[in-house]
Amino acid sequence: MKREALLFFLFLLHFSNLAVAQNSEKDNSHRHTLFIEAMGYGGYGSVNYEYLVKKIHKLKLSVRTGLSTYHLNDYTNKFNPDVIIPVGINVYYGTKHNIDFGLGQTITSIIYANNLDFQPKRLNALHTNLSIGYRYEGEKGFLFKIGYAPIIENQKTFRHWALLDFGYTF
Amino acid sequence: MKKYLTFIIVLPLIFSSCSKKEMTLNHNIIVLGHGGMGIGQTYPMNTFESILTCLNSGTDGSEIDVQLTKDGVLVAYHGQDLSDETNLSGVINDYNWSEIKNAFYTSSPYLKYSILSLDQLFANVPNFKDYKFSFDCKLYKSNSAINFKEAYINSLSEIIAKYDLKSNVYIESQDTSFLIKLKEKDPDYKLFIYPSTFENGLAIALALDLYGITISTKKVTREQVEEAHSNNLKVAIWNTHSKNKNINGVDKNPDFIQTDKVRYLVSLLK
Repeated sequence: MKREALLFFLFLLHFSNLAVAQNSEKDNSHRHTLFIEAMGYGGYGSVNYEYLVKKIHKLKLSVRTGLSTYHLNDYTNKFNPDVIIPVGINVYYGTKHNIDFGLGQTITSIIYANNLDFQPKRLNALHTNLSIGYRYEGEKGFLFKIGYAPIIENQKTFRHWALLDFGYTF
Repeated sequence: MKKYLTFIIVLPLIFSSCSKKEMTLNHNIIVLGHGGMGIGQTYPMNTFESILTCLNSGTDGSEIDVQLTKDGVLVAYHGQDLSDETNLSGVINDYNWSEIKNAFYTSSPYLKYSILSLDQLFANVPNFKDYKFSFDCKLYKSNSAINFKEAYINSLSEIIAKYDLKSNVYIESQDTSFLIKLKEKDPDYKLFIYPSTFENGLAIALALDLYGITISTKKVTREQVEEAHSNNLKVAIWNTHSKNKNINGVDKNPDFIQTDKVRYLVSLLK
């Protein structure tokens, strides 16, 4: 599983470098997006950053990463947060109104009671995210996205899920 | 600008003062979490994580839903069908503990909390004698189960004896014959009837000489709580999902509140 994650990151890195290198007409406006996502890749919600790496007419490619948690303190009341880090790649087509496809991995590090001594124990896992949805990009930078975003938990169990994003592009 | 600032500061104060109802708080009400931290939390009800978080939040203890496996192990689980919340299906009583302990909750993405046995709970909760626990006995049985209630009562008695829980455990059930059998097993058990109406509960509790009545806050009034008290019966209320329902519940002056808003009720009463 760790090997798959490494390959995925290398793929993302390679793809984004390639895309930037090929982008001779560099337009630095509206490359960065900050958005909050309800449900989606981060579980029940996450804060995210997205970077537009390539734009060919109406077709755009971006990479994203974010952060989420379920609990900041563990069940013994000590600061010991669950950590959820979604990363992904999005391809979308349109100007104001876009159709958006996404693929990603979410790294989770969750605190559980160990089955042997019931002390807090951190378990790490990797999950796959897919998404298809509608994306609106307003002229003043307002971003809205809604979509179907199933999760393949632990690369085994399929879960129907959705996403709703609000953000600002600059 | 100054006018707007004053407005912004004063407005919430006006609303907060309007929403606070004048009442005398009974700080002796025993605050129990509902299956730990209650319904609708990211920790599923009755998990070790939920119950420990509840105990570490300043409560007096927790209500726990109790069910029996095929091989006689008592586990903490709320629903009738495992498929509602876990990766298994059927009732707890269809499975042996060896199968149940490998099941996990599926209610939230990325989380895999386990089902807990009462033995695991009491073996691992620090200072459990300092807390109170109310066992809501769910008698969901497998179609093939034989002598189910007797097996349940034996397992319950064993766990109470093993951890010397008689003084800090309350036992609730909707089933009158189950309560009668428990009473026969040990007259000192603190038994609660869990009735459909207060009148029905009062009649059963008096007839069987029970310790109290567990009832939804929607189905009981302050006057009825007083009536139970005048008959030397304790009253536990549940179904307190919101802050208002907790305030309303406190106003009825019960002996126990099994709350879904643990931190709020603790901040109100403790």
